[in-house]
Amino acid sequence: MDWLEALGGRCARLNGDDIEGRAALRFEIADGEASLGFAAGGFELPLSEIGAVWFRRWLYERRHERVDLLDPAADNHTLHHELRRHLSLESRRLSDFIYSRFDHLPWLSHPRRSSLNKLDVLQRAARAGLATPATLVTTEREALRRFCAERGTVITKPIGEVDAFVEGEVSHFLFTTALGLPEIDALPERFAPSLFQEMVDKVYELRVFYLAGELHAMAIFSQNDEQTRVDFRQYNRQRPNRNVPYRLAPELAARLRALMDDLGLETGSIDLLVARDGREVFLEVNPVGQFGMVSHPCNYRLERKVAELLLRKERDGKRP
Amino acid sequence: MEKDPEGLFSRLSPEGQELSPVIYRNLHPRITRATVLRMAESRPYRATGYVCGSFRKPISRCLGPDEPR
Repeated sequence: MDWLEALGGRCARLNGDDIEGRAALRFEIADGEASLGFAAGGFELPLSEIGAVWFRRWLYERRHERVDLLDPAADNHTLHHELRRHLSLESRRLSDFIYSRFDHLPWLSHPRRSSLNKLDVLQRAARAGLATPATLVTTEREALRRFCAERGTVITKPIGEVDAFVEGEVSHFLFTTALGLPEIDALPERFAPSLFQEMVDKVYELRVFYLAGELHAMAIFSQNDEQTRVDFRQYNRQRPNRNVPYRLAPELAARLRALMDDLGLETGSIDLLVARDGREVFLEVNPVGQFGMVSHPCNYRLERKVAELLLRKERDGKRP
Repeated sequence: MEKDPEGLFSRLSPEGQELSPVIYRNLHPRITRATVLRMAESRPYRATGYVCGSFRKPISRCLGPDEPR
């Protein structure tokens, strides 16, 4: 936003959380005319002046998911679940409608494309000629055992989103976890559908920010620290991983561009590993991923590039 | 694989355990306060609702001069 203003643009930020209590929302249909408005602090968001939309994230956590909806907090889990489910649907419908009110404008990232299916992306990545880790989704211990016997140590991670379950003072995180045969033998014969992948013997990780055809890559040396070896998000704040700019080979860059085109994405954060055997292994794409963590250590000034792209979009008025 | 130190998986009902993917057996506990603080550091605008410019002023004052940092 600083760059947008510095480059002569104007901008405003609307948080999904705001419409759940922090700001005044109004949608009216009267005499055949429809109008939508948001106001906070006595000021109306100038919707008619908006020329382009950058979608990052909308609702991090819905208000009704944080509180006990029954008063007093009754031990009625089914009713509680029903109330939360209904309020979630209400919130989703309203969000979809708000997005649709900006359909005539150019967007950078669109909510329709903000949530990818990890398994679908892996298939498309393999089709684009990218190396991908051997992958198994199964409910059977024996299938997992055979996979592990063939591939060595495996990792498991969520099929969908990484999440954390907050329980008062403690939050329980779903980090990528390594499994060997002893751990697999301790599992029941059948379990809920779970995603497993070969554990790639990595030398370092790559985080690539893609923006309108350009690839900005950074190497993360997470392998020398036991805490970050399996998942670098288990940050070591006392001794952070070393992050340096990285030049992608032209063939790899071309394949990544082909994948992003196939996914219909104009921006996204791409995760790869560089294996000890030299393979550059594709892991996943986050369409609304972080770019500050690549921009700052590598001096890429991505914030400026994003601002320039948004201003170009506003000027050209090209729809998604 | 580490044990689930806070015992969240072991506290699930037999049906809950059956419905949980394998990764639930190794949830990593972290102090919630540290997580919330980290989020607040990275998203200071959350406290003020609409903001613009330097993240230091609400949208109601967007058209005015920047506030001192």
